[in-house]
Amino acid sequence: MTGPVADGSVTATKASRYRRAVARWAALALVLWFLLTFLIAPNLYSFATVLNPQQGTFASLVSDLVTVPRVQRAVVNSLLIAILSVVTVNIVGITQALILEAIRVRGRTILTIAYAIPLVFGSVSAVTGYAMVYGSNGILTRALTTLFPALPADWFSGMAAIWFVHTFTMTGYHFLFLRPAIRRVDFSLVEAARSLGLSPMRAMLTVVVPILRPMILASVLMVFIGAANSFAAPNILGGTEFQMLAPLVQALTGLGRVDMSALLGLSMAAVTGTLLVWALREERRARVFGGSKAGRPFKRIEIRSPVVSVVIHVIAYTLAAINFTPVLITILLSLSTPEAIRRGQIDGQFSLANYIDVASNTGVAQPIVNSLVMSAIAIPLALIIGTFVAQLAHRTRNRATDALQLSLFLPYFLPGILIAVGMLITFGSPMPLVGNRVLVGGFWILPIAYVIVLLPTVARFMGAAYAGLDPALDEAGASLGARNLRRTLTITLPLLLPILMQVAALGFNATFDEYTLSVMLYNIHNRPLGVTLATLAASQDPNLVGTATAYVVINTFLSLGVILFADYMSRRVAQRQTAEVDR
Amino acid sequence: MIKVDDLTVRYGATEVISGLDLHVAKGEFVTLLGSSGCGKSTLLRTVAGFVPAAAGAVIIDGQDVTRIPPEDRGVGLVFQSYALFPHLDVGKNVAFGLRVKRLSSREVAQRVDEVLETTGLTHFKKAMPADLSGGQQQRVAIARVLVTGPTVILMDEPLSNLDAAMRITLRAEISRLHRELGMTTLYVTHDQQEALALSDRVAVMRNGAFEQVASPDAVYHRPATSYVCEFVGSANRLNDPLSAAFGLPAGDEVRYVRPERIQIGRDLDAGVRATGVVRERSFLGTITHYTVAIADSDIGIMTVSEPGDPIQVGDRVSCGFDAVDVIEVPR
Repeated sequence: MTGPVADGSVTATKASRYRRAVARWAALALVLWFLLTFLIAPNLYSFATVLNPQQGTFASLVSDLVTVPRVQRAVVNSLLIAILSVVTVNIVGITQALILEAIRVRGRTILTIAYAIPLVFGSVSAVTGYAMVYGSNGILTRALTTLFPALPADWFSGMAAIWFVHTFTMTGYHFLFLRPAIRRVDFSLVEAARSLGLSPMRAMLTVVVPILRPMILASVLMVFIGAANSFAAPNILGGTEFQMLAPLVQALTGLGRVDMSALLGLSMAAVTGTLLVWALREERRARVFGGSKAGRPFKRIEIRSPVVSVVIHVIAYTLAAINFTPVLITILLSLSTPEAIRRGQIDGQFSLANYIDVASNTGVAQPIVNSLVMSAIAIPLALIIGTFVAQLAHRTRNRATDALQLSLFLPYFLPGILIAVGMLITFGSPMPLVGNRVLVGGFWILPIAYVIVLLPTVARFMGAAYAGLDPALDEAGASLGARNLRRTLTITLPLLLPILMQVAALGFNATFDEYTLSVMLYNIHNRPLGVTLATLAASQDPNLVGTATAYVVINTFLSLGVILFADYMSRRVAQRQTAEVDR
Repeated sequence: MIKVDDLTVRYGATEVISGLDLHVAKGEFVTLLGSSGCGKSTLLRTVAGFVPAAAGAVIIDGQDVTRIPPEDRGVGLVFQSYALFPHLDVGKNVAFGLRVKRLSSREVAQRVDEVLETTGLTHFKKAMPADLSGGQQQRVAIARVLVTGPTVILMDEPLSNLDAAMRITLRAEISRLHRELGMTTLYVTHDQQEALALSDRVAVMRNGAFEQVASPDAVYHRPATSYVCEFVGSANRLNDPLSAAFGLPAGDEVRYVRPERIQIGRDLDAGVRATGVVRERSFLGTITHYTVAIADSDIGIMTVSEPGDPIQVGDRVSCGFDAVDVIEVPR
């Protein structure tokens, strides 16, 4: 029989409890050090730099900045691009979401794949792909200039190019969040409208779309933020004349005016933060008002009019073609020879030479290896920190742990460019919190920056996961004699494994071809894939198109593979843990 | 054994248990019975170590465990929701507590097999919790606790999530295991039948305090307070007009009589009688329930059902009981 710890070993138990407490506090101290050093300090240093500028005072810095014509142009351009992108991204995104979820169309599977492309073919990879297709040496440009000799080679650059790329690469939010919102709509509302004389199409537009207003507004705000803070597209496609804010921050940093770049970055953060809070509130409203537990499940509407049906199918497949084209052409280019690319023809003479080159040539493979290594460092670290904080906040609920958990969301509200500037300012000279080392120019600053930008995603998902755990399971473990660490390792983490895998997959996609932080913080020791892609895309060298497109294809299929694998594994694990629906 | 000494528990500023004392002897089965929010689960969870005591002490087997964490108290806890680890099969769930103690694999396997046989779960060793019925899951939860050989077992409404038939089956199982293994058990339930059937003593709780701690027989037939009398089973309160109608002398105590102790009919052999009119009649199979209006009050009567029962709604009837059946509690 066992009972409470016998008197004789009370001392030993006390010593063991003391050791465990010391270990817990040491782990907490380490996490606090990391967050203070790499999350809080860079922002404080940015503020300090702005308040004590290199030249003059804060007031004169502000005045200098706002009076620079280039800055004024950048602000106007960013606003313009943001507004235009909001309009077209939402037209495309909402249309695509309605086509997939609200209307009966043929070939829904192929359309779903097409509209999901921005999830795996985004950021610098997509911009590179578009540049390869539509850029001055792009295959489509060569074809068009053959037909229309007056067309300038650099027709796909500047504002129009950025706007076009945004329109077809920023619909991921609609794919991931607007579609479930449509599915949650109570179909009896549509039926009620139809019983009052409305056609199916009109019922959908007058009933479904208004219900989705909060989610659509959230999409509008998210697109606005993303477009205004856009970096890869303007950097690669903007040309010399069209300036936007994020590349301007980079330029100012390069010119040695970190005070100006910090001020600009902080201003962007203030606007971003405000809009994000608004967007999150709309998202919450959408979840409350957008669905009905007692209502009828949503059914896709059958369009009876043949003319309307044809029009809808034409729109659907046109959008699909636009999504597929850059990907398909990129794949074909990656299988083409340099001669064919120089001629501007895809002649059917395909080979794997570019891929063999990537695999066998160390110099060519190095960016992929660097990105893999840095992702492999950053993702586990972010998961450990995020899970530790989520567990702490879950087990010990008080103001301090709430504040700690909230602090992980800080990078969510900061443009990537500001995070990069903050790190350059903070770690560009000896920093006491890292043993008076200078991290800028070294290997570690970039993976650490990746950890910082991953923390909000980890915090969001792990916080929700812990909230969904049955507290009785942890108590059962404790009542069976298992201590904190053992319960975490043998009960909690196995149950959280599905979500951990999915978060890791998201983390991989966010870091593997990351560009904004990378271009500001990389050096020769860790040149990542994103920077390499951007350089190749900007150079438009026909001899390098094959390599660039091979990179893009590898990245795209790796992202897709990681997402599918994580999804499959998490479903497999979850299936073993979930009770049957009718039990 | 379990001793709770002048225990106080607070949730924030609210005192939910105040100065409570309880002693559970070695091998005894004590049930905490009460309605939702009375503090019974709070008391159990304080004994388990999941709710801190604001004052007082919890003593288990002679040792003050008030400040000792749950994993060091050596008590077994069976949860209402079973709390089986969904990612482990039945065998691994049951073995969990033994692995914590770092026993050898052979001993773990042997003890797991033994307890699975005791609880009739041998064939389910490789099954996952999601594949089991509610009753089977609760058996696994009990086995998981039993295998560690705790001196004290705590059960927090373990049968509440089961259907009526399964509750009866598992109740018998718990009773059998307690008889065979003789463990000190503290049990929480809001089900009176469960409490009366399983327990050596029943502690009826209300607003964080004990109304009565006594044997099931005493709690039912000799309740200490009005609350106990009305909460455990049904009881007719004999107000002054009713007492007068039955010819009972006036008194300071509150009087009750159980529905099943009252006879109804035309020729009664009862010491105390009154006449009334049947207002309602409910045939419930084994028993028939009548509501009879006497002296502007209603009394409930339960009798064994008779085929072709002649008593119908509207009939004038005689109701009576023996004087010894009157339950008197302080006002």
